[in-house]
Amino acid sequence: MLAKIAFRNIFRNRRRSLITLLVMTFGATALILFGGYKERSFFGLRETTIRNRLGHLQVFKKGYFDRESQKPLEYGLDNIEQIRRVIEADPRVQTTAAQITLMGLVSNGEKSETFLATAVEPARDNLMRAQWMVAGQFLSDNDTDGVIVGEGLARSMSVKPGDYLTLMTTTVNGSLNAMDVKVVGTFITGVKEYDDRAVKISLSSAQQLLHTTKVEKLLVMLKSTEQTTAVQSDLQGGFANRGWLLEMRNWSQLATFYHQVVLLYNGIFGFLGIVVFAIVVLSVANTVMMSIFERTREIGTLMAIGTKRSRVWSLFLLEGLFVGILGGCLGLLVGSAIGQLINQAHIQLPPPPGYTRGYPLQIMFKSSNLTTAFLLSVITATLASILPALKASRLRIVDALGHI
Amino acid sequence: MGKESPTGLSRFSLGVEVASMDSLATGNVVKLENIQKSYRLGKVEVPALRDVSLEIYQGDFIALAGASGSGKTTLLNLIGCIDKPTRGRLVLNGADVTETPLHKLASVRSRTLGYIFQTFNLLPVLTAFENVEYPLLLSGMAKAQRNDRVWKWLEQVGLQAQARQRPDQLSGGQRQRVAMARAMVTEPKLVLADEPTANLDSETALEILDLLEQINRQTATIFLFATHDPQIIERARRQVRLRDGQILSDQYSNYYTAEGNKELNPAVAATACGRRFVQ
Repeated sequence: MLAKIAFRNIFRNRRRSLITLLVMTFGATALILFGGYKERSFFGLRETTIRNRLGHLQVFKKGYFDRESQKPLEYGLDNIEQIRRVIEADPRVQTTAAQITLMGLVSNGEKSETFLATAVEPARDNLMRAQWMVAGQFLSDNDTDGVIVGEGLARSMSVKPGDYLTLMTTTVNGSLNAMDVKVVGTFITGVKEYDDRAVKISLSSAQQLLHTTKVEKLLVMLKSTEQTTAVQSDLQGGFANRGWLLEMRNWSQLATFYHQVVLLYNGIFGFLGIVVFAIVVLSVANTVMMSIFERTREIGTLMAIGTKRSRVWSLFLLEGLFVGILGGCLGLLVGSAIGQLINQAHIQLPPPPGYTRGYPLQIMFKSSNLTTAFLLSVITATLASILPALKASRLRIVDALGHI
Repeated sequence: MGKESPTGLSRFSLGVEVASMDSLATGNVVKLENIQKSYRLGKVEVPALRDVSLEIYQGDFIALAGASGSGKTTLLNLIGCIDKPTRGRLVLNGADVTETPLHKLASVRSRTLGYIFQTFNLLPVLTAFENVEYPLLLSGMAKAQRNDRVWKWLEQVGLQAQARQRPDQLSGGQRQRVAMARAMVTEPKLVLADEPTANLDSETALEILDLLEQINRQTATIFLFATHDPQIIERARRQVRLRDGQILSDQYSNYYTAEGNKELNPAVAATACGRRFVQ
């Protein structure tokens, strides 16, 4: 009966309830949209970071992180084919890709610039789609002297596909070595500072330049990001059993930028969440207070005919709860509908700081997000009713009955 | 001296002072001893009741009469356990409730007392049936028994057909009948009514009064009215007149003889005609 009274009371002052429900719906919708945008951004950034740059896991020779290398590739991996076979035997692994990063000077004969090169296995690296080709084509496994360069660097060196450059760097023995390479394409990654220095070269060419057969690291790409921890622990076990002195890092340990963005976004959305929360709390509290004021005599009657304080308290708390449930449901409907519209509108956002490319505005619907929005509506509305409900239950019966 | 009452019973006006018959009194349901009640108005204490003593017995049909501000409603509120006396002692159904905090008297209110208000005070979101059912829910009565009890009282007040209607679909008289059924459904010992006919036209007021009197005669439930209404005052078997917070007079002026109506509840007969009035 108490629930029946509480529920019917919501529809008693329709206009006021409607306004409260609109506020609740606005709150839940905002949470769904903000949350969905945040999730999509995190997901996009995470997957881009993993698929384009880091892989899910990276395998290094033991000591790579702890000890200072005196020479390039001092802690490089030998015999990667053997390691690769073990890793790729795991069905959860999609592929592996060996890499070397090297720095040095690049020259077009007239001027020199520093470069930051990534040596890759072209066929495997191509799957990672780490860059967008602007001109020419990507490296192929047959290129012995081909490179692709970042658009900024190409502009600075005044080169286009077909032109030649000279790369100069220190070999693993500490001597200097240079190599003429042919620009087969130019690319952008979206990060301007990187594109102004970036070179991609085939692994075999880099090894030739460095006078080595080693690689720096082996990237492991998984079919699903969620399996990262499990695969890492299984592979580590496998390496230990074979007595291989290897160490692994997962993407989360390497993705400093991703974590910074997550922290920043969580801060911003947390603040927005608090603002929305405050609006909803005040609105619901106001509604319940108004309702109590209007129904003072009714509360007096209820108590006069023997209703206990706790029941009066529960009655108003239930009203808050029902408003919360209704508002939460409406919020889910409206939030999902607006989210779908946004996703279908293909809205393009401007590039974030440090980037040269914009990205699409997308809302991700995650059950945990929807549940949070709904529960927050319910909890907020219920919490907002506590004090007014307490006030109602503590009214003096005689005063309440005499209230006009 | 005898004359016909509207209900067809012989009615007598004895004009006996109750105070002088006190030694005959036994089994009171309410006992007020030297009750004082004052309100604070800023820094001034305003007395509402001064040294009021009163005993109420099963079967009583009492009008608390007096001008506005005489203390009728205050007295009703104290007996109804919704207000506390400043001084004095209140015994309800054998239990001294003077010191018990009001919020702990909720179950006393729901089981022993019934209320009828001037403005009906029905819950607008509940149907007539649900309004009557509400007090039974407080006592935790089983559903089947509850239904029987609600229908019984809706029938008693002649509102079975309106059971599913909400208060705003009912007339003033019908609303007050629902309020009566709500007050009676727990079958309390005492029903307190504050100006129950003030918002009704005289014809409807008379119908309501007939109904209350009939219930009183059948069930011996005590009815205590705070009223200005001469109709009620005249029809009440016991009239307690208040002035400036004091009892001016307490008389049994009209009563019905046991012989006059076979349906008369024995307790009413005993109170009205037996122990308290020797013919």
